[in-house]
Amino acid sequence: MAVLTLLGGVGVALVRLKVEQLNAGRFSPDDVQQLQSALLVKQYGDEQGHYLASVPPILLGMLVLTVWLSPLLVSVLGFDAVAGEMQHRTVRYFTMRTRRVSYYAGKFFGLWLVVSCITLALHLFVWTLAVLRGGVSSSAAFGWGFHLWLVTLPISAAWCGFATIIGSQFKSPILSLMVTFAVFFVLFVLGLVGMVSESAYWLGYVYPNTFEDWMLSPHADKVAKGAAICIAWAAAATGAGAVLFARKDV
Amino acid sequence: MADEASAEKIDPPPSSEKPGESKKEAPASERSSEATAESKAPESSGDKPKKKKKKSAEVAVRLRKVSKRFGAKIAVDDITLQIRAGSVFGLIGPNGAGKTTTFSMLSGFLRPTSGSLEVLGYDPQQTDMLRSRVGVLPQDAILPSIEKVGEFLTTLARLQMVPASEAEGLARSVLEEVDGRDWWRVKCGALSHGMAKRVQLAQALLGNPDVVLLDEPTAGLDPRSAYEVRQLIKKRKGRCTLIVSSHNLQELEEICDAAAILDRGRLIASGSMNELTASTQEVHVKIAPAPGKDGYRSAEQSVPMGKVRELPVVSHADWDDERSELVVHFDRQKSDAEGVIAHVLWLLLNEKVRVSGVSKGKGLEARVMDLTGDEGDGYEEEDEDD
Repeated sequence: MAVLTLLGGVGVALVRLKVEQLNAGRFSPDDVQQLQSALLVKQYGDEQGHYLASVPPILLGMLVLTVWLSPLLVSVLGFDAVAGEMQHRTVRYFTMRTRRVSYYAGKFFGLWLVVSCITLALHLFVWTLAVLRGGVSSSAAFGWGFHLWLVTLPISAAWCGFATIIGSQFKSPILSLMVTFAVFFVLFVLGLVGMVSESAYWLGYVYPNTFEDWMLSPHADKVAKGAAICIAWAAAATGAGAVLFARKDV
Repeated sequence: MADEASAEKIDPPPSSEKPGESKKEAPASERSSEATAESKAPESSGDKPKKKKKKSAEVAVRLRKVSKRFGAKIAVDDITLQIRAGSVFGLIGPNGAGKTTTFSMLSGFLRPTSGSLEVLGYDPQQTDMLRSRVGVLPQDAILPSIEKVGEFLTTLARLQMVPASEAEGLARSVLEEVDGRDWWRVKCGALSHGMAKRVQLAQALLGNPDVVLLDEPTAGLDPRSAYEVRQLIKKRKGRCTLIVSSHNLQELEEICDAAAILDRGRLIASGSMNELTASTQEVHVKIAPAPGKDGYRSAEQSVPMGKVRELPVVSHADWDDERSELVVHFDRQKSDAEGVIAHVLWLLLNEKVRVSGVSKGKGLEARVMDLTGDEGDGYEEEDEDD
């Protein structure tokens, strides 16, 4: 799965670079810059749009792609982290030697680490590719690239927290996968409703990807708030999951 | 034991009965809710009563009114039991008896619905207190297939807080103990059933725990592997408290000091192996048909039941037609099994009865059948969750 994700992400980046190279002859850099700026202003608002206009488009595209795919990646990598060991009772070798809370926390952090590493590898590849073929300066590629990768961390943490608590409620990994997909889809729909409805904007808070915008803000306090809410979701899910798991018959 | 030559006149055996002096054993706590396993621990063999009393308080495992329900089903029903430190204790019972559930609660995998359990004085879920003091061989827990045996055991040793510098050495030594030194780099998923069972046993013995719980340690093993596993268990005897569950009753009779018999979640008998098999109350003499004038006499016909019953050491005697056995009951206050065997054999051999075997008590298997066979559907292989 990790390899497929890497290959898929790299493939998309290569296509994006090729399109940029083809367009390079038809549009002047200023035209591209203006177009990108207009799109970003429309998406993120005036101030934030101009702030992000200096980000190489390939990097911003990669961020959007990885954040969008984050729930899918997390669910596919994490659905059997606990359920797989519960199914064949392999978990028993560990729970008699370590506190269940530690075991559970280890599963959460392990999943988060793996997802973060895959995302970093994907981003690193794109940064390098952008420098070598896209005419992006290395300082911009690695500076903005690292910044954008950091944005993915709290978001993926929240998804990992959700995936781990759902996965630990089932002894059948396939059931865990199906329920994880279902719950993530419901969160996506709630996020969508929160985005389009002014009266139910708060529904968007349950969808971690909502906070991508916050963490791309030029204002540090908004970035911190976005990150804090994502981390709070992750902590709440992991804490609740650990308590439930500690009481569970394994 | 008996053949044609042995049917000659034999001098009467010296009487071994010494009323009031024979070894008295506590009555089996059959159908009682509480029992303490007889200990083979060196501490419990002291001579001074005061010291004995102190040592008898050394209980490794204690269950108090423990019940476990799975929905409407009662898997374990109000079990109270104590297992003395240093003993080898067997958990016996047919399908659905509650053995594995009891094991799982003792191992901290399951929480009791009511009642309390203590292992070495702690709740089994107090992992911090028990992590290196209790070893468990779960019946049906599969080893992680992608991990290599060495890595797996080393990881478990590290989880038991063994320093990194010693973990590998400890893992290697325990793997060597189960005769698996060549499997260090083999992936767990590539092990045969017998090899996997040994690795499971190795992880249970990792770090020389004080209490070792072995759920079906020889299930599915070929006779040689099963024998070797039994030898491993015997080697541990006296070094720790061993609690073993098995369907192989001969095996349990061979290795256990004491046992509890469970049926439908309830404790129906417990005590020392001698008590359970009634080896201090009855003697079984297997009789073969004997040649007579008109061909062979049946075994039953060849036994002089009246004379047997008149023997002073015999309280009463019965003929078990199904097993072709003479069952001799005696008062353990007045005589011991060896004295009764001597008297009965002397009589039978003088009567030219062909004796083909003698045993003290009825054997654990027969005992379990007697106790669990009333309503049950027989003694079968155990389910995953009994």
